[in-house]
Amino acid sequence: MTTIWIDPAELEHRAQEIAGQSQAIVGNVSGIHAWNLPGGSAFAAELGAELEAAEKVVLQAVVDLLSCAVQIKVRAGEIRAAESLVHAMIRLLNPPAPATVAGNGAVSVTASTFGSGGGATFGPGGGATAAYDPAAAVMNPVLIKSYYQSMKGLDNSVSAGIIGGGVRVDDITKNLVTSSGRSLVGSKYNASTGKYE
Amino acid sequence: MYLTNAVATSPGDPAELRRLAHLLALRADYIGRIADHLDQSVATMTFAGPAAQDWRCAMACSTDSVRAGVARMQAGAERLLRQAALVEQQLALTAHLGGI
Repeated sequence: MTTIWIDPAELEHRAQEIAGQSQAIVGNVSGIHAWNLPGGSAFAAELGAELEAAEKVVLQAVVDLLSCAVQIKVRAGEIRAAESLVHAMIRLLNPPAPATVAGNGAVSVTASTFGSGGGATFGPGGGATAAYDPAAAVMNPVLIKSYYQSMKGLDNSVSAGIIGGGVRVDDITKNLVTSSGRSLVGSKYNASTGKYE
Repeated sequence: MYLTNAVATSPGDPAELRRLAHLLALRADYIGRIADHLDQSVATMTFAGPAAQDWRCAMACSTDSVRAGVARMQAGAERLLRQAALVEQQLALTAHLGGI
């Protein structure tokens, strides 16, 4: 089973590194063809043309590198957005204290702390902000995982992605359990009973 | 005829040609080392997914292109050095003929 670590902060760092090095290349290759080349007009013209060609090759490569850097940075932003969405979904799945859940306490997520440093805490008092809503049925943890994987570009062969602070998607999904201790992973919301089954 | 051409094309100062050759070679070397560093960065990247593979390929191609440009710059530097040697020969020949 392969676990691949993806950290948006690393992506951004790499993008900046690539951009910085690309700028350094540009600074060192630009204008070499326009140097005042002595050695005779024919020689200067020929070598100037050759240096101009070299300059074009390098500058085109730099454009490609910068394009990669931009794509990587955009990807980092997408991953951060996906993480925010996942956390928002989890907050919606995490109901307030059962006493405040009108009519059903079927989905009472047990308190669990995930990851190290910056992991999310679930359960009553664990930051639940949204009232339980049966419409949240679409936010099944399986779908969250699937969505998160698709946002990260992970296919099914990859067991888990990683949320920035070191929280595995699998950890989040497998630790979401009902009040009876049953995992929510693989459960489906039954609108008639108001429970995940 | 040979000397006439040499004068007409203003061969320049060999020292200046060598200075430019050195400057060009230094720049080529510096850019080449940046390309090496970029390759190392790509090798240590821990990306996943199809996009990551695309980036790896694109960056590998780009650094190859940078090296191709660097090679042409190095060739230019060598040509400058050869030109410096040629000019020196011409100047020496001119001085020799002038002394006859």
